[in-house]
Amino acid sequence: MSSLNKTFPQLLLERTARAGSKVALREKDFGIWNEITYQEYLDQVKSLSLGFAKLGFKRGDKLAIVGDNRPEWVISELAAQALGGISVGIYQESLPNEMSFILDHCDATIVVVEDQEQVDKILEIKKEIPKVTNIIFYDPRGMRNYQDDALMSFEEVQALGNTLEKEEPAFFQSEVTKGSEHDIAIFSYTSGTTGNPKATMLTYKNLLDMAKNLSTIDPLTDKDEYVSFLPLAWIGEQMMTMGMGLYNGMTINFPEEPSTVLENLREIGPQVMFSPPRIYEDMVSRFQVKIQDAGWLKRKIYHWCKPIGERRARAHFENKEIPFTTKMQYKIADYFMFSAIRDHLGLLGMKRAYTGGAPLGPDVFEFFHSIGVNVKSIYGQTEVSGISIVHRDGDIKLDSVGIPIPGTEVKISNEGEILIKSSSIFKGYYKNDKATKETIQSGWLHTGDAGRLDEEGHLYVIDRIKDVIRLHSGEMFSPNFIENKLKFSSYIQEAVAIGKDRPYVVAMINIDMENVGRWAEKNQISYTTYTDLSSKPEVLGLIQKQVNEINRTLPEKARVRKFVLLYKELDADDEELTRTKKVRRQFVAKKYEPLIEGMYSEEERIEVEGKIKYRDGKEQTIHTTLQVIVMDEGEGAA
Amino acid sequence: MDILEINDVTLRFGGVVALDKVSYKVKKGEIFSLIGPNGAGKTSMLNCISGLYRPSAGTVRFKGEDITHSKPHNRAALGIARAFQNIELFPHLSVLDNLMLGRHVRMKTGILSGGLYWGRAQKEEVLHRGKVEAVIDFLEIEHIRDIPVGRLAYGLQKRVEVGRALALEPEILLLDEPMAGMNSEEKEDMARYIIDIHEEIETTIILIEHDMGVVMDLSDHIAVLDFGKIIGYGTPYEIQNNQKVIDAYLGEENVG
Repeated sequence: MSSLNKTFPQLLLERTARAGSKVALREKDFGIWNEITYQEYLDQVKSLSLGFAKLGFKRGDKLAIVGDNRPEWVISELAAQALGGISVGIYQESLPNEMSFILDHCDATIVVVEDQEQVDKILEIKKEIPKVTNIIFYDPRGMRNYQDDALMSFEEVQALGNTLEKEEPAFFQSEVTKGSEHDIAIFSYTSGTTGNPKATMLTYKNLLDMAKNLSTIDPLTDKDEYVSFLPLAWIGEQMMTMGMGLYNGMTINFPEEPSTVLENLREIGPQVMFSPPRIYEDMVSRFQVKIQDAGWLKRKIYHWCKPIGERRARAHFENKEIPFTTKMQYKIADYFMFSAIRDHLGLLGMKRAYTGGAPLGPDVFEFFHSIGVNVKSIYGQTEVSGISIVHRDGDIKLDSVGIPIPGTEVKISNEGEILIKSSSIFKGYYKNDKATKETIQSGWLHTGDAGRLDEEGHLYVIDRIKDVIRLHSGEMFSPNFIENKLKFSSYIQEAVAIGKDRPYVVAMINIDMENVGRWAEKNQISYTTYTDLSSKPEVLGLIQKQVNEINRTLPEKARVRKFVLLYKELDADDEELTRTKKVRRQFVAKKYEPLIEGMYSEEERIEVEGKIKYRDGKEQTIHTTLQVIVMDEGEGAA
Repeated sequence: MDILEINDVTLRFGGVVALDKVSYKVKKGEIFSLIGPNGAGKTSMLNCISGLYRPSAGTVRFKGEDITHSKPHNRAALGIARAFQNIELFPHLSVLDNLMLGRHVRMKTGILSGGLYWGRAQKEEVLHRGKVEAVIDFLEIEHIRDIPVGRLAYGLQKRVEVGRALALEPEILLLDEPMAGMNSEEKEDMARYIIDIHEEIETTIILIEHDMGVVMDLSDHIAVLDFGKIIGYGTPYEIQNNQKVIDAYLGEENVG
């Protein structure tokens, strides 16, 4: 396809010229899927873009967008880019102070927000963001009594744009033509496991080269469907919805509400998806509940089909040919069972389902491959436009994240760090040359991840390099690995393993309130709150047993020696997790320093004082005593 | 303008006087609350408005028209809808079907054309579905659209109950303890919806509620019933400072 040397708005113009009546976007509203053709898409972008121009938005200006996935989101992005502006996505659940930082740092002049909730947040911080001149909202509900000069509705801006269109009909076209592939398209704020988030500057070339390279190994067509439901502020969703969407001409579908995603997925039956492990884990547990409720015949057939599916899955994992008899058996099993399961999960038309961001459990991989869903890992970071390593079809090594996509080189530095070189490497961090220089050294992107490559070119990611624990043998060991093992227990929600530069490994554990709560009810243990449940001796015993079992599967040095059950759940609002739900290790280590020090002392009980912050800003201080559980030492650990 | 006028309404069950010459007026577009201790006659009052009870004496006027003797379904057609204290939904029907049923009095096609889903019936169904979808969107219950009501959590059932009343596109919405049995988060949500109904759809609301915080925050006017008699009427501020009301119901500490 001839989409080289183009910007997103130029691609949109090209697609509209070629097939203006084709459906570009779809959104479910009032129970009906409403379609937007390329022509309508372009018209909307044009009106809004000209409206922005009337408001004084110029080449190089920044537009911030906060909201759920809706057509208005992508229309706003393209409208800004059409004028040579830069789009900055902000996570919709960000707290006011986080928003204030980003809005001020990126120098945004216009903010597009979804609804009253977001407007309230912006108005709350208005004094801190003097550069913002206009706030535009697209859901007018509850907005009638707002009297702020900066506020405007989406339609008002578009109407403003239509007047400019009459005055200067050629303006839009000429602005779009001025764009070059080397212009900055978006700022993507990295959720930042340390310190303030950094604005990654990505050009159209970065994003479209990525789309091109990924499409060469995993081709898509303009008949394919995609459901966009993860935050558009996240680079992965940007890549799929904007990059892959415009490059391949897929139809992008927006769910009705965040709460209806799984149903909407089933209605659309997309050909491709990209989501963190959570969505896949949800699907498996939904299936397991359903099959347990199914009639005996269905269960019987499933149990007959299951081993056939597993044989096929194993062939994929070992990159082997599937034997002829298995192929035939699979055809029958697929006809009777697997196709029906896929249909129920909305995966019937799925060509490839990508997972990334965190490791996906091997049992989940096996389940999907056995029912015929091609789940593959992706590895990449915002700094390389999201995707640089991916599993190849039929060659799914479970603990690897795959092989570099075309145009991407990967090597491991002497320190064990993963280095990447490709044309999708970002242009630098906005207003942060120091960090840019640290990250890009002589053309190689320093990912900060420790990893290794095998003979076939598969990449294995161990952990963040500053977090890895080095064993006496010199082998690197990842706290993440220990944590994931712990989290495979259904009673453990979240775990933080600590051990770097320490004599042994300790862990802070969050229990899974729902499962442990049910267990407590069954065992007639009464409890009130999370804090109370976490401090029950029976619960401590239960988790101790779990940790014991997990310890058996770990090398001796990496075994958890001591642990405590935290009195509160780690929360993104308390900055303990990133918005993508990863533990911010440095922050947590600092926040719970006295607790961690306590665990490395001889004490068995640690007095702690903690603050719990509620959504509305109220704070409550908790005083509690945590019991340190010491695991048996030596060969046992069991 | 007064949308509803209650004049000397008296309701007797044998020798028990549930309502004794109750009179008040509700203005168009306000949130009007009825409060009072248990057994004061609040729900009986609502029943007289919705037509479930026929007052023994007195009149109920809706937009100037005397409706004291008209049947409940006629009152519904006029634009008086009610959400019950104890949820009165069909537990085996989906949320969507329950809401469609809420529009029953607005449907005109008969058994035959409706059953065959043909011609006018089809057009009518589409129109009503559109209205119901607007309610679903308004109350943010998209995710439970196709789930049988019986399987939902209590708080959600309450919301659907309000939705069913709202689907009628009423001019007056009677809410009988919409927040009873809810936790504080659900209460806050419900209060939000009541304000939205009031402001966005401009519906007049008559509210019975025991949570005084909610009542004082939301109401334009409040009437206080005690043993079937009105003992106070006024704005929240006036009610909080009405000695009779404090003695009978609020008590010293509860004020505000």
